[in-house]
Amino acid sequence: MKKKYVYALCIAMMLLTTPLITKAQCNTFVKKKCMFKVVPFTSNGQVNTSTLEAGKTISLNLSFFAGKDYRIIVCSEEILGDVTFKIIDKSKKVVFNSADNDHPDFWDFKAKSTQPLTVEVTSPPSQSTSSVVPSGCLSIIVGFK
Amino acid sequence: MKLKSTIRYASILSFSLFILSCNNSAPSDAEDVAGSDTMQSKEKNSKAQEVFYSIPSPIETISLLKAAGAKYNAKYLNPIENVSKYTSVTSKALNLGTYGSDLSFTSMFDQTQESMYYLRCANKLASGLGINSAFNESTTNRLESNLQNRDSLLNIISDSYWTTDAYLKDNGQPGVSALIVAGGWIEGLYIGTQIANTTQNKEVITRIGEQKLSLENLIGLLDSYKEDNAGIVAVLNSLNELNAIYNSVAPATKETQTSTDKKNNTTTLDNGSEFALTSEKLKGISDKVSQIRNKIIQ
Repeated sequence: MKKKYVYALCIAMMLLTTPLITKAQCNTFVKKKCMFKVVPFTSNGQVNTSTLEAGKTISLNLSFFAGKDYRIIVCSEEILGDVTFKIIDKSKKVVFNSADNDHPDFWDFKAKSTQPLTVEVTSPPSQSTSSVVPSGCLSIIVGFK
Repeated sequence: MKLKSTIRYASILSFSLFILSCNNSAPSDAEDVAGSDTMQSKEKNSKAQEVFYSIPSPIETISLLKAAGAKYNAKYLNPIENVSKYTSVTSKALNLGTYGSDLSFTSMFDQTQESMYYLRCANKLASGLGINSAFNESTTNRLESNLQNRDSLLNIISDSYWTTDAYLKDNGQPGVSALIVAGGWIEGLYIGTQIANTTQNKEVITRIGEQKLSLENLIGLLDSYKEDNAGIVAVLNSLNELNAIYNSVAPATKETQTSTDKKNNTTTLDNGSEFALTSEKLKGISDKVSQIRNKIIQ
């Protein structure tokens, strides 16, 4: 009987720690598979990582400064498929769309003026007939020089 | 008998699930733990879309000031003796940001001895927050081996920021990470305003005006955790006051023009915005950020 209580506690502990373990695994993935892509730029040191479900969108708001060169990297696990990203300005104009440019995983540009931009990232809808929606790690990394 | 044990078993599991559901909505320590959500993000209305906010790192801010003609002056920095004053999680986090920014400033201007002092301050505060994987002995060794290579120094510092941010998010403390970001940004703006006041350098003054955009994102970031942490609320209130001074700086929204230089394979974005500040506006921003910063470092 005691064994059952131990099992119940183990299951509970797993449920309690799963979100943190998933987050840690995502950051390990980003460190190993993504961070090197920022070279020769310098990372801004912030972690914009999430576990994204197929068909969902996340966005990142940030500002870019006149005279600086930037690299925006969108790095995701294979399970998410061809993730697309758009760079959108304050007037809602799409400045760059990765889907129109053979799905690169990064984009470099020079900022002539200082302005806010939004990076909007979308994973394709799941093609699977299973009721379980696939999900995977995704990170938006920003580098400057 | 069998039914009784099944009920007990189910009760333990139900209670645990209840605790789990509570954990998703309320932090365990209202004063110092910044939030139970492990992401620097916020759900957005009915779209349920995650929104992140990114702030320029102190390295980026200081590099902008340096390119604008700023000179090094140690009196702008938080004295290293202050490090022992910071005992709460909130003050440690904010001042880890402050010292991280000062470390970026000393490194950017090749002040190697001062860089090592500020690294030790950052190390002490990071350790106090339980972060042993950043600003540590390994960072010190790497910095010492690269003292003559500024780019390497800045990349090492940037790595430490990333490791700190990742550690705190992995451990369910993204609000503490947001406080570090806030402390770093405030110190960068403070240094900028001190340089502007001393030199009246027009380009530096423009760079201070441009920080309005970062301030809006920083407010968005901190706002995600305002209900979770008293320390964040205090900083947020101060930054909202600063934003009120900044408000009239906002340029009109213009559509971005994109041009591509095919020869060099570079794309340039330009929306023609300008962020010039009047001397009155600069004084208002400078006074307010000094007040906020002095409260943080005291």
